[in-house]
Amino acid sequence: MEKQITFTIDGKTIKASPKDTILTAAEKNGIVIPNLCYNKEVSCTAACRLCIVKIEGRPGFHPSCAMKAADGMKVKAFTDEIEKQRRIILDLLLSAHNDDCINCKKDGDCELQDLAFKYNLGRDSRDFPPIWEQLEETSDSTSQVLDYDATKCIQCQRCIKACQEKQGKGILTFANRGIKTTVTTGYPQWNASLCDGCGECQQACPVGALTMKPVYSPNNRVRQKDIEKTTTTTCPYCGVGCQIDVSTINNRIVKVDGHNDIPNHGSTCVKGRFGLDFVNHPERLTKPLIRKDGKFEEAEWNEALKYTADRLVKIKTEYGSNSVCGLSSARCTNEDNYLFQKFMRSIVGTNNVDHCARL
Amino acid sequence: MMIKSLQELSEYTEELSDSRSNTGDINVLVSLGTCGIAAGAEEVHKAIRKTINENNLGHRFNVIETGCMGLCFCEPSIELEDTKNGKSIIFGNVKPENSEKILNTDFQSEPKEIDIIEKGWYYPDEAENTDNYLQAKIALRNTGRINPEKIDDYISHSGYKALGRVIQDMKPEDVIDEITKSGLRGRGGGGFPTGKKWTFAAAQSTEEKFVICNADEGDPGAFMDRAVLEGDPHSVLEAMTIAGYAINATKGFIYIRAEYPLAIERLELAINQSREMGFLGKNIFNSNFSFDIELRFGAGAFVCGEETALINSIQGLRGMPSNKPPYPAVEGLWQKPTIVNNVETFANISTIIRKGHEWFRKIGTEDSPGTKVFALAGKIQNVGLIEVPMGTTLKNIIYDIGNGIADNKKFKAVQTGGPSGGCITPDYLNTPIDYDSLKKLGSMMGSGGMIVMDEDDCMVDIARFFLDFTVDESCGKCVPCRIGGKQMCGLLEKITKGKGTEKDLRILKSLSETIKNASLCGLGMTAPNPVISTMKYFAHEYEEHVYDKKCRAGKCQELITYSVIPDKCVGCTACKKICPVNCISGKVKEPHFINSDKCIKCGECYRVCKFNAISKS
Ligand SMILES: Cc1cc2nc3c(=O)[nH]c(=O)nc-3n(C[C@H](O)[C@H](O)[C@H](O)COP(=O)(O)O)c2cc1C
Ligand code: SF4
Ligand code: SF4
Ligand code: SF4
Repeated sequence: MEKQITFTIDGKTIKASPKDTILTAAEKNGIVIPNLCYNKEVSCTAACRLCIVKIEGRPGFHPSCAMKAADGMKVKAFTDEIEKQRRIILDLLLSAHNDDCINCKKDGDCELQDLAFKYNLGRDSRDFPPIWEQLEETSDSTSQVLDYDATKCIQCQRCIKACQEKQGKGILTFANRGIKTTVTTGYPQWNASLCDGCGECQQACPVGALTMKPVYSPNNRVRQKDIEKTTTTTCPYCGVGCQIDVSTINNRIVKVDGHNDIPNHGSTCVKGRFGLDFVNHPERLTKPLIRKDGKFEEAEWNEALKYTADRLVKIKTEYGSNSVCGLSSARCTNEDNYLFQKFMRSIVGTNNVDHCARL
Repeated sequence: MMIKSLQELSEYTEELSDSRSNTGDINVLVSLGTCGIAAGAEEVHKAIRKTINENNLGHRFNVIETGCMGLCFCEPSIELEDTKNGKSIIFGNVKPENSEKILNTDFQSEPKEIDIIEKGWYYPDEAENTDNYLQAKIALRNTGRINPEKIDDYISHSGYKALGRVIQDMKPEDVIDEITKSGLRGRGGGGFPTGKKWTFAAAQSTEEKFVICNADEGDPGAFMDRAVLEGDPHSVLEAMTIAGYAINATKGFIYIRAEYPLAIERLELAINQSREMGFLGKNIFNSNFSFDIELRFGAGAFVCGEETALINSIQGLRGMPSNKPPYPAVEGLWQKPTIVNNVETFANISTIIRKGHEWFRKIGTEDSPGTKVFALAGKIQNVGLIEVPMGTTLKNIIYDIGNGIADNKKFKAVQTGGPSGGCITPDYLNTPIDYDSLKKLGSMMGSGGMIVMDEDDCMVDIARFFLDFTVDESCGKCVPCRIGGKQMCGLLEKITKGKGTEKDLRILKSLSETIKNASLCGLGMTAPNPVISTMKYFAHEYEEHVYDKKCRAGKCQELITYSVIPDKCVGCTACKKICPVNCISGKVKEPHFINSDKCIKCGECYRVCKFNAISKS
């Protein structure tokens, strides 16, 4: 068994694994140290500085997301002094952030909003004047699936790291420096870049800076709190079988997120996240079609199955087994594909079987 | 020619001194650093050469093109040195037409119309006794004395001897031990013990390790590293190679800003010369040890001087710092153990090896042995590059070496440590300066910038000026520095415009504490220093701006009112003519009047009035 370490946070004994940082150890013990740039899916950034703590015997303040917990450590995480620094940091963040929550897609689902509420930082309680309006920041909505609103960006790098470390694409980086820092693809416009629109970045964004375009309901923006139901299911596209959370209102899909489980651990590709619009498409086939006199006509399943079976038997007897070939779909489950090749080999009697992913 | 042993090196050195006896006895040292060249040193150099050629004086004179002597206040400068008797004389503000007079000097009488610079600027490396000199040159020992483009010049000044000794006679741990015992501390700003840093890196057991020389020198006003690289590049190459031997690295990088083209050119030349003679490359001094150095160029971001940002930059990433730990000595370039040292730190190494730690410790103070190079600037007579033993007082530096405040003004404060340092007031002029004493005063050593301020400087405005720089250079990664710095600038601006309130002063104080406490890297942590220290030592100036809406230095435009003193005004109309917004009225020979509602406070009237009849309050 892995060795455990023991240390204290504000006097409370904490047991943790030697791999834990102070932040993760605290979390496992029910202590939530405020943070914004921390995302357990990607490497540590230590940029927001909200999770600073004091460690006995070491001068200064330390970001708990970057400090490994060690045996016997005495950590202070919620003294007045530390909370005062956090409040100032949050106040600063809010001064550079377009806090138009009323009109924000992330209203109610925003980590900054939550912290501002927690620290009671309404506009009247802030010390710093809003400066975001004077900054000439470049927003970008040229992507087909994403909107980047630079006035809301808190420069936490979660998007940049998600694209680089989770998707391995490295599309995003920062442009400019200091207060002018913004996220960029490095191209004048997002849609000129190599971004394929997987949406990993927006899923990592803690605020309303990088958001999905409302592709499922173009005329009706939806917030998290409007969603009626979220169903975890398997993506119907390729054979990987990614787990996705499909959110619906009134039985219509309004958004899709990656579900954090095997095999995709929260990621999806552009098709899984943005390509499920066929589900509610008016032209979607809901019944089998049989061509009669050169025209497709709707049929019942029993009729269609019988027609297909009859034709297969006829072709096989007249022209032999090898005159039939079967083409399966990577969108079917493994089990379905197994059955299909079995059917082709033992019932139809041919090895002419393949599937779309090989083409 | 390849040098394969210490024996061969000393034979070669002797050959060099023999061949020298064929040239003239009198060395003519022409300072050809970037600053000297900008002041016209190349023309002077040509004129000197021409005079020697035309008058067939080649047998008497030996012209040496050197790096910067540090005499910025009187460039172009030339030193004549009689190698027979050691006599020397320095000329400043030299013009090409002075060359004949200079070459005719008898070292006694001073030729008129050329400035003679008092000696005492130099205490060459070889002297054992520092007492009679204000300065002591270790890092700058060769800068301004040798031709940086000739490896032979470096070799004849004991160059590469330390490297030979290290490889032939010392184990890596002995080298580190010697550096540790010398007490040398990093000259790049932090003052971290160099020996300790090397020990950490040496203790790592990875196969690959790196040595990096930090030549980014981003502090505005600091140019000591440039002077060393332009004036004595081999000293850095030799030291890096010694460091490589000590920690078992085979590769070094010099990260140098692209704005230093002359330094880059001389470094490239020096690296090639050093490779040709076998001081770099495979099997140095016929040993198993191999080491080579490459240059990497920085694009001039101040933050890229921070070691983790520098490492990211070399790796081709955005130059942003990373949280420490892990420290570079454990996990640095490409995650391998890496020592990052400053140019000046390296420039000390070979002398320490050659002369031993005991010699080094005799100079400077107990906790900060050795010397420090300072770039003297601001309202001081002798602007320039100086090297003094640690523990020298500010008074010595400003009044004895710097020759006091320019234009007979009153000394107000001196900013040490560059834009992220703090100011020191007249009360503390007698403090012996070293890393710890400066820190105690709320300032820091930094890379050695020293900016002198006089009574005309407004301390609130100065704080804003320095902060503007750091805010501009913030990489934007962490919140306190990125947004906090900007907000702090806003508060200072408000105060200098007379719009500050008591609450602003309070916020300014707590904000500067937060930026200092919570920032990720040294840039943010030290950025509020000018504010913190001016608020401490010049609290009254802040209060005057906020409560009395007054700027005693008359710097903050919005707080000044210009008016005519009727008794003094003779009605010459000069002010009326120059005022760009025509807000001055009055007839000829009658007292004039300034309409302060329209006045834009440009100060032109004040400047042109010959009768002191304009008051500024
Ligand atoms: C914002 C910032 C800028 C820095 N710039 C430089 C620089 O230009 N040159 C330098 O040698 N060190 C610079 N440093 C210090 C380096 O991070 C590092 O401490 C130093 O190079 C170590 O060398 P030393 O121990 O020999 O001083 C800077 C540090 C900070 C925080
Ligand atoms: S959508 Fe995907 S590929 Fe595009 S920037 Fe975001 S994470 Fe990268
Ligand atoms: S877009 Fe979102 S995730 Fe990316 S840096 Fe800005 S706030 Fe962070
Ligand atoms: S302190 Fe400033 S320069 Fe350093 S990491 Fe933070 S934002 Fe960047």
